[in-house]
This record gives sequence, C-alpha cells and structure tokens, in this order.
Amino acid sequence: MKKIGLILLAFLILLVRFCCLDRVPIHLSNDEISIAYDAYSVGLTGQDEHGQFLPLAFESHGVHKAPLYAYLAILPIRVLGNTEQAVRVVSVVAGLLAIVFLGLLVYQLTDNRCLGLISALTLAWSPFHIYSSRVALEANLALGLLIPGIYFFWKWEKQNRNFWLVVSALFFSLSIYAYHLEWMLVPLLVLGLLYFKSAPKISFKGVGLVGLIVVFCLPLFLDYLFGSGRLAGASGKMVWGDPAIHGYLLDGGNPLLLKLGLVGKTYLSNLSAYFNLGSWF
Amino acid sequence: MTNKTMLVVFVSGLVCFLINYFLGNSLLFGLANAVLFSAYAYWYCRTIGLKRSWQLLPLLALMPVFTFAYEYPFIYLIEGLIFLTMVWSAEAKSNLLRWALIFVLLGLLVYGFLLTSKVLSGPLSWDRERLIYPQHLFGLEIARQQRDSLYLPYRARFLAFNDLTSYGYFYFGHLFNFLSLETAYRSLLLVNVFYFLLGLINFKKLKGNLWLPVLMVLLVPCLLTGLVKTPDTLSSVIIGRGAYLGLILFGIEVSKKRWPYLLLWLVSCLLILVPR
Repeated sequence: MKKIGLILLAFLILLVRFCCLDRVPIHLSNDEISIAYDAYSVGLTGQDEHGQFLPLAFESHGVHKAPLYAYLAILPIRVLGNTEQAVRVVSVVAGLLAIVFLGLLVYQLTDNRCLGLISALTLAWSPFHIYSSRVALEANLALGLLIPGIYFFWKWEKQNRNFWLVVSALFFSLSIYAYHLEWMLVPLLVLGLLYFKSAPKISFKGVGLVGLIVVFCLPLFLDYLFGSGRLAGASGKMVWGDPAIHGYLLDGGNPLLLKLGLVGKTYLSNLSAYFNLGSWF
Repeated sequence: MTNKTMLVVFVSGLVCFLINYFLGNSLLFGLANAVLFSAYAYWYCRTIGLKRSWQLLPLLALMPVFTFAYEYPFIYLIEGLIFLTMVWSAEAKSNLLRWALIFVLLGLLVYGFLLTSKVLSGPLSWDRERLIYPQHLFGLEIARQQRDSLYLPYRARFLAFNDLTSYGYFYFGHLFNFLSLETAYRSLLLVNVFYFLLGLINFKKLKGNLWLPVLMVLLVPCLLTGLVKTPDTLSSVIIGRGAYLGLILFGIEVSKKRWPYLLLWLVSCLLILVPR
C-alpha cells in the first residue's frame, strides 16, 4: 500500500512538471528564447547567435548568461525539435534531480527515511519549485546540480571512497557552469563543509576536492582572466558592478577600508531587500 | 553593583552626551538621551546582574537610537515615564500593582508611539492620513488582492481573501516592509543587531518579573509600526530603545566572549563611515 502511495505521488510530481510544458507558463520568456536559440545555433553550427564558437558565456539582451543550460538544451532540441518543451525539459529534469537528492541528503544526514521523504515532498509541492522547474531557468539547473554535490560530499565523508569525492567535485563544478551566483556560493559552501568536516586540521583529501573543482572550472577561470572578456562582463552584475560603486572603487583617493565598507553596506542592503518578508503579503 | 560599574555607567552616559553634541543635537536633547541611556544601563546592571557586558557600555552609547534627537521634547518625558513604569512594574511586590502598572505602560507606549509617528500631533489632533487604512491606498491594495485571488480556484478564493485576511495582508505587508535587516542595523548598528537577536533567543532566561515589561516595550511599538503609512526608521523605534538596550546587554552576557563584539563593532563603524 505504501509503495502504491509513493508511486502515485511520484507520478503526480512528474505530472505537474511535465504536463502542458508548452502552454504553462503561457509562452517562452525572452531569456528562454535566447537560451533556445543559442542551443539550436550551437547544435547546428557550433556558434552562438553572435557567431562565437563554443562560448563560455552566452550574450543576450546586454547580459552574459552562464553556458551550461544552453549546452544541455542542445540534445532535447535536436530530438524534440525547436519547441517550448525541448528548451524547458532540462529545467524539469534539474528540478527532479533536486527533489530526489534533497530526500537522499536528508536521509543520509538523519538516518530517518520519513524525514527524507517529507523534505523531498515539501520541495516537490512548493509552488516556487514547481514554477521554476517549468521554465528554462539557469538558477534552477544550478540548484539541481548543487544538491547532488552536497549529497555526494556527505557520501564521501561517510564511506571515504575517492570516487564520491570526484563525483561531488564534478557536480559542484557543473553548478558553477550553470549559474553565475554559484561562483560565490560554491566556494563558500565547499569551504564551510570542509571546515565542519575536518576542522581543526586541514585534510589532504579536502584540498583534493578544492583542487578538482578548480581543475574542472579551469576553462571558466581562464576565460575570465585572459579570454574575450564576456565572462568578465557577467561580473558587472555583481554589487561592485553598480556604476556608482564602481566609480567609487576606481577612485584612487578613497581609502581601501572605505571601499570594502561600501561593498559590505550595499551587500547588506541587498540582503535586507531580498529577505524582506513584506513582499510575502 | 560595584563602584567600577557605576563609573562605567557614568562614562557611557558622558560618551552618549558628547556624541549627541558632536552630531549637532541641542544640549537639552543630548542630555535627555544621555540620562535615559544611563538610567536604562544602571537599571539593567542592577537587575540582570551583568558580569561581562557592562564594560562595553561606552560602545553601546553610540547606538543611533540614543544619538537621535526627536524634535518634540514631550517624547522624552513620556519615555522617562515609560522607564519608571518599567522599573516599578518589574519590582512591584503585589501582582495587582504589577498588572496595573503594565496597563499604564501599555497606555504610555501607545501614546508615545502615536506621538513619535506623528499620528497624534497634539492632545486631540489626529492625522488619520498617516495611517494605512482610511485612504485610497487600501483601495489599491484591495484591487491587487482581487487580481491575485483570480489565480485560486473559485471556492478557495474566499478562504484566502476575505474581510479579515485583506486587512491582515495589508497590515503585515507594511509591518514587514519596515522590520527589515536594514532598519535594524540603521537604528542599532550591525554588531548590536547580532547581540540583540542573541538576547531575544535567550529571552526566557531573563530574571524574575523583568521579561514582561521588556517584552511590552519591545513589541508594542513594533506592532504599531505596521499601522503607519510611511514610518520613519529612527522615530518609530525610539520608544522601544530601552528594551533593545536590555536585550543587547543580555545577548552580550550570554555570548561569554567580548572580543567578537569589539571586532564587529569596528566593522559596524566602518559601515557608518562609508558615503552611501
């Protein structure tokens, strides 16, 4: 009976994510169209809409998008054609990955199967996750890769098999390729996980994990430092990319401490606006 | 309480006065702020039995809520009465007297808040336009809620959107727009926000009858803020500053170490000094 219930739930979860993918949300947004066209173009010619060969940042509407979504969308677009479903299906799969691995992660951490199931179901039925899984959203893809990364990290910690370390590093690195926010989030998360796992002494394998992530992300870093500057353009979206702050930071007359303070203050202000509960009502 | 503690309370009052003076506040308001700060600090030192946090009192005197001059001197009188009622209600011997004082405190807090938020500009002159409900804004809010309700199935619509919830959403929306991290660190400094939260988490450990007046002074102005259309950050929190100071001191006391406070205090000062 329990199994039938679970299968029914899994079916419903799949249904609310896959059903009417072409009509709900009602049409592709500008960002989705851009991803779809880039994936289609790269799949056919190896070049994006601006003629760049296998780019590591896709330019659209004046911003530079993270590359992974467009590359992953090539296959469904080739198979399903240039349709709404084809570009959105990557996000659906990422959403399902997030649900499954969140359940597994909670189970791994608590040894409580029921808690794992509740966590997975809570995510599966949260309106925000249903919505973000149904649109071609890079942030959703990044989340779907980040959670497995954490899960395999804990699996490595429990079983001490190097294979899981490599898998964890791979997922963390892929999430960096999936969304710009992960450039900051993943290093902080990995260092935090390593600190709580191996503090106070630095573990050799922990250094290995960081090293693997750096190696996997090397193309991104090299492009950022020496490449076309397209990825560097993406950093214009960061706090210090704001013209007013950028001007203050570039002014040599301003003391370094005040520059750091300005970035910190803007960060706090953004954080406050982001977690403003007033928008819930 | 030792002589050392008394000296530190006095010095922190002096620091508070000097900062008020350097910020250009009038001598009277600076003195009122300093006296109120010293009074609260002295009372908390005596009742909570501070062992570690009293040495940090001069740094706490720099909190923006104690260096802000409200232009209406009558507020300071109300705040003085609030302080005395807090003290008397916490130290009252009989329960009847304590509850009577708690009701007086409630009345003073509501009256004080209405004055600081300028809803009440004289004994009987109400400015209803400063409130959120009786005006066109509420009409716009209802129109928004009507649009939102269309996303729900017909029958569920009346559960989520009815007379009661419509007022509730509007009120809580306003309240939480005001109660943000930014409001907190602008009125208390970033370092104190952290220790305030620490004090709040350990609130139930507060000794004796102290918790109820502190809770009242903390909650009443906060909850009333949701009723005001455009609450000013410092004016709105000034009435509750006694409770903030108490919880911050309690938070420092709970944390056991003082060096993180000093470190965070330097960061907070840096944030104040930056141009934007």
